[in-house]
Amino acid sequence: MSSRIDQKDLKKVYMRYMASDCMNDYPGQMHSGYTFSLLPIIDKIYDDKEERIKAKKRHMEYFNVTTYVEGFPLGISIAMEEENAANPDFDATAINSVKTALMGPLSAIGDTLFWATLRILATSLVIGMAAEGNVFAPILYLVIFNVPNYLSRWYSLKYGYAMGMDFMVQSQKSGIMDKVTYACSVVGLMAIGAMVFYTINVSTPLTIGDVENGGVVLQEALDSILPGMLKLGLIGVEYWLLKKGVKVVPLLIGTILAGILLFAVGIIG
Amino acid sequence: MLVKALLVGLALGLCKFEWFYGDTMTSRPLVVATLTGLFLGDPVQGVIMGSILELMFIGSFPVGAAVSPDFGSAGAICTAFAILTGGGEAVATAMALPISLLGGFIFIGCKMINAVFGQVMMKYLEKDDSKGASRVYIAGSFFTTFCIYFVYGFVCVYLGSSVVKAAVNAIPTVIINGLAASANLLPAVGFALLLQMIITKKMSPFFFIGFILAACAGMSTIAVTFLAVMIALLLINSMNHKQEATDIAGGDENEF
Repeated sequence: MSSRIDQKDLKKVYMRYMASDCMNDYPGQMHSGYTFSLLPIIDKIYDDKEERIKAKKRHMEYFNVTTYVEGFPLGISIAMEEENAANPDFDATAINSVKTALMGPLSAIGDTLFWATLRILATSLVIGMAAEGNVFAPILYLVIFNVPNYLSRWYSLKYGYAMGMDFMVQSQKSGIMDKVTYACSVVGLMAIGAMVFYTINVSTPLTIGDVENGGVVLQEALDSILPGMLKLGLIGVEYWLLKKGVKVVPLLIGTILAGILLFAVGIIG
Repeated sequence: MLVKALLVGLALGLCKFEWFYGDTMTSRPLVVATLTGLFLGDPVQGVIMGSILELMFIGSFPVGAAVSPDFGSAGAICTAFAILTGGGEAVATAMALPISLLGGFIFIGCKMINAVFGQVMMKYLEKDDSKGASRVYIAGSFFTTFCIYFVYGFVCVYLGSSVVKAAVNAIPTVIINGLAASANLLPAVGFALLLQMIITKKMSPFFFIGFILAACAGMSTIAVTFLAVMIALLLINSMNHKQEATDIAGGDENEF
């Protein structure tokens, strides 16, 4: 079977796919954007009007995935729609069930890769510049994030289409996704560790006894054990509270109030 | 003030519109705040406020269907307050919570409006009118990612600046200084959120290695990050070797 989809069509989808996270809503999350991305393909491959309308409505079902890797399901859907148009025996419900099956695992990888690693990497590289008032920091930040972003969109779409379902099966088998996730966690965690030291600012002006007569400046004593110990302690407390089920907003408010209080009574400075 | 408020609205709207050109992270506080600063004539102050707000919200991102504080609105509006009232860091941090929470509610509203646009789009799809459906999609996207946030930024700055300024003058200095001190603690919440997402017992040493390298060896964040990439590569290599070895031995131990 010769394919009716060429590089030009994929480029059309690629351009629309840029906007696919835009009209996100409650009943279907990214469904409108997914349909919007696929419209040129569906118009091209279906000659029968009824089938064409069915295909368009099909993609308005619930869909949600990390947008940076959405190219995989899009590409696979294109391949399957093409098959469906050519082969009357094809089970069209498979198109949506494959999409749905991909949502969870792909989002797990996509979130780790882009939100938790690439973004943190970009932040860690420029945050020092930014704090000093260097206006090139956000530009550099956008470049570091978006070159992989735009590449990932294109290649995920291309390989999704070319390999169809095989890609996910293959990648699962070879364990490459596990390795990528592992490597991301290593980089992300180390970058976070360093950023915690440089960006959280907490020290204590407390002294034990009279400093001039052999008393101890508490902060110096703590620093001689491990510099930034209080920062690590603070992270520990916040992490523990989150684990205990405290929600983010109360935690932020609580931290602000505790900060003001501790500052007012002179424990932190 | 009218022109300034319009400019802040424009900065926020443009950055929020990122969803239309590829989720490019322009709505992160770091970027929005700098653009806002640029529009208000003080990009340096903007980027500094951006760095503070970015860290405060480093753990919040729109994953799944959960509603989170809207860091983008906070980035634009709080930076504008900081610059326009001359209150700096303390004002930006203090206002970040209410502004971002209200922004979060606005986002829920946007999603409801989007649902209406989605219904209209469906009507066009049923008529096999792809052009019409695409037009509805683009219009809906523009309305809920640009227009609404443009208005939000404009209204907050236009009506809020004098109120915020009066409040800053009324609040005692000890509270203002205390606020500035708490601003330095807030990144801890963001980082704790992030850690919760990626840390496991097995992986936790890497976090401490990163911290110790910075704290004791004085390595910069950039240096630690590069070192981390190298370590990750080495570990992946050794994992590959192990896998080959077990493949040859016919073992079935999936250590990783």
